[in-house]
Amino acid sequence: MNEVEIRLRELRDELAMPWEPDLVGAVAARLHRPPRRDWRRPLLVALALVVLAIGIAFAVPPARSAILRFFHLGAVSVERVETLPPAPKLPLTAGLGEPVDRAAAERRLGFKLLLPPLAGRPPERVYAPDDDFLATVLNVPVDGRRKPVLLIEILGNDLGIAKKVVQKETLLAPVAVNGRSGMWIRGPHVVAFVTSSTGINSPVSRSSGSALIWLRGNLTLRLEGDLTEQQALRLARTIRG
Amino acid sequence: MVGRPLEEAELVERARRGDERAYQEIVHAYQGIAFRTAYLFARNAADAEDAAQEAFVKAYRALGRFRPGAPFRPWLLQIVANEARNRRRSGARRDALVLRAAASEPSGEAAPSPEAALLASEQRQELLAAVEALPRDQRDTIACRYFLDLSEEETAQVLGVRRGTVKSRTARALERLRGMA
Repeated sequence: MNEVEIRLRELRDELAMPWEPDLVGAVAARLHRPPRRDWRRPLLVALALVVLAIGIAFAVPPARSAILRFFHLGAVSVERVETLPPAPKLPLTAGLGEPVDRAAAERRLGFKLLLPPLAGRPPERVYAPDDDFLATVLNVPVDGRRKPVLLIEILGNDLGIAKKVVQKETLLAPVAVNGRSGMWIRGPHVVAFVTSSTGINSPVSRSSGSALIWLRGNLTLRLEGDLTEQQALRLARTIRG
Repeated sequence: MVGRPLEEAELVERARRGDERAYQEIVHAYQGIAFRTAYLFARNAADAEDAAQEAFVKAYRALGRFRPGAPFRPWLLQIVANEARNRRRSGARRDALVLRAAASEPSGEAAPSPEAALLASEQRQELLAAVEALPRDQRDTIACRYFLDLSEEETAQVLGVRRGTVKSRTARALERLRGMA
């Protein structure tokens, strides 16, 4: 350690810092309250998406990379592009972190996961990658067979999922689920989960199969799996609180 | 790197499972460094308290994304620093760092003469002024490394940069301080 470093360390002990408050009680009291909505967050996430879009535009030859359309459904943002960015095929839960206890996660986040009436037991483990984002993998009965599906539920309209859709190969169809707006995306697309409420923003992009997105109250729900549109809609319409 | 208490991983795991008492122990253990970090980034005591509190709540809700076995402190302080930086952009009054009124001398040494004490005090003031005059990225790096006593690896995580960037910023800052102080 050189002389300047030694003097800097000495300086640390001589800084006049404010009195350090006891945060234990205040933090404990807030754990049960719904998450505080930060007005900056939509701005930050939107900025992240714009940067992502610009990144894509520069990543592939300009003639093939025009971003054609950009719109939102609840917490999901969809971009139409001519060429998908490269994205690996990863497990459905890639980017969602480690599974956690469902009851604990619901208590921590302040909202409950809506589920379809399953033949088996409801899931005990879920993914909670952000303070308004719950996800679980369910083995649901579909036409006599059990299939794994990823169900994601995001509270509020802050953007939590970004999708890129190839225009010619991917169908985007408006649908209604129990009278609420939805969208069926059939065909190849890339999905990225953007979780920035903590400021630790590490979206994982992966190839996605078909997916159904719809709104319910202040939740945005997304169902992904090896399902047809009718199978996805039937399942979605049974999802209750 | 500063050694972590053995029970940290267990406390974090219990908190991940929804044990709020375990999380309160974590808050108790880290509230001091969290507040100091927030203050050094926000430079306003009220904003620092709010940022640290908000960061603890956000960290709790984001525990599902925390990699088991990873060090908790830099992960938490990264959230604290982000919260504090966001508040720094608001129009509230920002404090300059100042020295305590009467800096104590290391124990076991004879009391310096009034002239020597005055000289030492002036040198400390000059060094602090030189730190404050550094470019923001270098100043934040110096604050993490020397005022918060974080390792290079922890500093890199808190600032969201590579370890090599911490090394180069530290080297540039020390070079400037050698010339200015």
